[in-house]
Amino acid sequence: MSRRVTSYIPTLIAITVLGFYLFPIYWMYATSLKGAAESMQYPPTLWPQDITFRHVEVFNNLGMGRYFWNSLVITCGVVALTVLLGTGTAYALSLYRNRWIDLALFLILLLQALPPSLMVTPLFVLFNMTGLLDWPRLSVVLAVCAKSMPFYIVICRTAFLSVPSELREAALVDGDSRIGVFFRIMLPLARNVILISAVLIGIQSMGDYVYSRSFIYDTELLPLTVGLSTFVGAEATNWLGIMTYTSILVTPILFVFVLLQRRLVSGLTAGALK
Amino acid sequence: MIGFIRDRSGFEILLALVSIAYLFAFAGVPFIFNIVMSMQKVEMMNLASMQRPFVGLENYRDVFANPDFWLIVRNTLLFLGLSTIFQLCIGLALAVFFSRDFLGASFMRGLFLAAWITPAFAIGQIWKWILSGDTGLLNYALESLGLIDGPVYWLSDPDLALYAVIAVNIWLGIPYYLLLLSVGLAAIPGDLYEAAELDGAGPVARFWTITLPLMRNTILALVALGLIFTLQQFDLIAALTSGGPVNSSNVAQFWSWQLSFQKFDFAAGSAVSVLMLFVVVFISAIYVASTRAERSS
Amino acid sequence: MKSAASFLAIAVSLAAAPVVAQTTITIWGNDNPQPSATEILSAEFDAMRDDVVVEYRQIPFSDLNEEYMRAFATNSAPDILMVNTTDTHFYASSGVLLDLTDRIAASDIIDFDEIFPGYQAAVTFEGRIYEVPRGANTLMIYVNSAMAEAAGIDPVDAPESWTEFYDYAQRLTNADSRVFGIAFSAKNNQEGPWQWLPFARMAGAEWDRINEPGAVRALEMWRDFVVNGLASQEVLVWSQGDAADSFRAQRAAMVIQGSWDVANMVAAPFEWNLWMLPPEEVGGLRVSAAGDFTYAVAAASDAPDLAFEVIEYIYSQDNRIWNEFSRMPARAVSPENPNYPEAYEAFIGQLQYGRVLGPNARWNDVSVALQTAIQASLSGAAEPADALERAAAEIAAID
Repeated sequence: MSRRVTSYIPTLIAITVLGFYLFPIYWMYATSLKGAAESMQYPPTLWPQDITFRHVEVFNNLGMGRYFWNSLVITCGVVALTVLLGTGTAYALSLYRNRWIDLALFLILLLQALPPSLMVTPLFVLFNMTGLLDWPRLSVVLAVCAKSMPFYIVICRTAFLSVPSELREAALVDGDSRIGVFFRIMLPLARNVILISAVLIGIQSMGDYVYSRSFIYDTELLPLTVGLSTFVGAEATNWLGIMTYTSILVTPILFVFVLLQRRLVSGLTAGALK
Repeated sequence: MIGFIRDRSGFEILLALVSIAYLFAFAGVPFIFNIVMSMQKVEMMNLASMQRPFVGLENYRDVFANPDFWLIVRNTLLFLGLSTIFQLCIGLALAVFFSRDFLGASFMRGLFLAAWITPAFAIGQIWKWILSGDTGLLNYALESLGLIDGPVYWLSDPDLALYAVIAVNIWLGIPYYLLLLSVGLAAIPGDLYEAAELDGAGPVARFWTITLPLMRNTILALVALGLIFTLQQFDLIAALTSGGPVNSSNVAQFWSWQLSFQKFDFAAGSAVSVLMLFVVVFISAIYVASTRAERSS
Repeated sequence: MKSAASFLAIAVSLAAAPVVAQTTITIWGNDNPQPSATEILSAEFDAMRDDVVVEYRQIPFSDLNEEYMRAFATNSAPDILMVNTTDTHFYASSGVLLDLTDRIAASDIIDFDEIFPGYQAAVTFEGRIYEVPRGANTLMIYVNSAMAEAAGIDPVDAPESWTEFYDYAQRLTNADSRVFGIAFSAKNNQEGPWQWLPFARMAGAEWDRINEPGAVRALEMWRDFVVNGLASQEVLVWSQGDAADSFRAQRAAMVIQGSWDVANMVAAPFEWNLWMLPPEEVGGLRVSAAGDFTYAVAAASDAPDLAFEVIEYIYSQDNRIWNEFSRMPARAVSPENPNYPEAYEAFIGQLQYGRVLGPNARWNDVSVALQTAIQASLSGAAEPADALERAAAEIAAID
């Protein structure tokens, strides 16, 4: 009996910790449900008294469905491109130790040092000159990818590193080609890190603002982040609208990613390493 | 040729080259553009071209001579250092905690991601409300608990503003460390721990002798990347304090933007960003050097 | 809602129009959203003309200049752009805008002389006109009527001098119930100088001689508000919207806020009144703020005549913009049955004394110097006189 009770203690601790940590997020949801007058009150009400559900209105007025779609397109593009180009590089960089690898790693880290606000002007010029701006979302994908790839490469490289080299050597001795080794042995073993990193990159690219705002002119093609900024006028900012919008934005994405990470982090077996 | 790719190291070299080429095109070009720009005289009409009057290091001299320069350096270092240390420690502690198999563990761990998914702009405003001196929830809670007498001006007191911003940044960065450290932890075979326990090692000893060493590569990678991310944190500062009051919470990245887009002094903004690059060079060099000790068993 | 329906009707009728060679006019700007005046009015123009398609792009306020500059630098600028009154001289002096003087002189719709003087100055650069004002806004003091009465102040009795103003703020501050007498914005962006400069001007100073004693007195008053607890220390990080939120939450009895916010104020659960910004002495010079956007045509535009027609059309609808979009016109044109008529009368009265920021081609640099001075003084880091000396020196050094 006492063992069962104590086994729930970690859960309770976790709930408390999470409660404190997520309080600001709760606050966002609570504010989005408050009436205009209640949101101005002090002391602030912890629980909305006068529940006003304006979410459907905001969704429709702003055409959030369209923004969601664009965000999805951009995010999928970024994740696909990053994983496609970055995984192989991470693998290659994990195999050898020499000056070239050092240099490559160093450069890769260095190239992501500039913040988007500074990268955007030269990239704009580049895309303008090459006509890429005619495909604005593609331009955003290319720009965001350049930001997320170094992160992805560095993280995945550590995953490939943790695979014992004996496995690879054994397979090569057995006559497998290098391509085969990569796809049949290394990839599956690093799969979880790859997927988690892809998840994090996905989340990050959903948060891209600078590139989307600068490359996309057509309202039909804007993603969620820029759509949010329509609530901010020169003088007045519609905070209730923003909190409502944000709560609509966060909820499904959070749902998807919580489910994803659950499978990825906990569904790991060390069996293949034996 | 095909043989080279399929059976010799050509395959791997090709893999690496593709993305490096990509990065050179889409990150390297802007990089060089900015470095060049920092040594020129820039104004609106020549903003997009590379051909501008060359002024050498004059912009850098102006930046160093700016009375706020050393304050911003100090702020930036504090911001970087404190954020990273606390993010790592708290993230690691939480990762270890959530790696245990209790009810709802993995589900709750995922919920931490909410901080990352919410747009930083909204996060900033929410924290601004919570930290508001007169009407904020934090002060209200602290006063109700009797811990403070009157309002504490977290964001508008020049002595406190930087630390308030750092605290929010720590909060924001935890999911990143938590999730990636969790993956690293999950890769450590359970029998290592069992064997150690049989040998009589307590939980702390197990942590020091098994967990940390095996997590070394992951932790180093995360810290290097985390430092670079933190160096670029912009939206949070813009939303909370805009670098104020009186530059007490201004850091290099925000200052660079202010110079470029509020004062329209693009060259100075670029110069500041190049100075930030030196910090990144330092971080990258240390990280790459640390990879020498990677191949351990 | 009504605008949305009319927008839909226009869109439908547009879809049924016959095909004619069309010119596209692009407009970039920043409008308070829902409803967005420029978007709706330009769409109406679009619907009226078969040969024109108008595309509007909304850009967030803090990113406007960045987007414009990049567009001009890469020769990808729109036909029409919305330029804030603080930036009019900057863009005009850069040579990227079309000189509109002759077109305005020949226009039947735009009569330059009826535009308020503050705005005339904003759009005129070296004798030539480069922009057309599209609206006006100004600052006044909103005061909580019940709190005023409780402090023995008649809510319709505006302060007539700074001494009286300070005295009111003192009486309206209630330390026990944590209510401040006044709220304003001293944030380190354009908002700080925008709120403070009218006071400096009323004391006889001006931005290019900001170390004069009048400005020092104005900044000392600002500082005394904060240091003596009549205004919250948070003004240093508050935007105007934050300050107004504090007023609406009844944490402040007065707030210096703009005409654009009247709809939000009406939604607040208490009565309030409007006061003009007080002159320094009784009967002294009155100044208030004047701002808002203007429309300009890019010099590189390939359809300047058509672009100008769009601007003319929007200008001609000035009698609607108060009721539909909460903007006042930049000229003496009164809507019939204005919403919130008393507030409207008050704003128009205050606007007579409105002066724009600057105008100066390097206003952003000037603004930064002023922001530093204000923040340094209010946080106690420097004495107002010293802070303004430093600001004056920085401003003089701007080339």
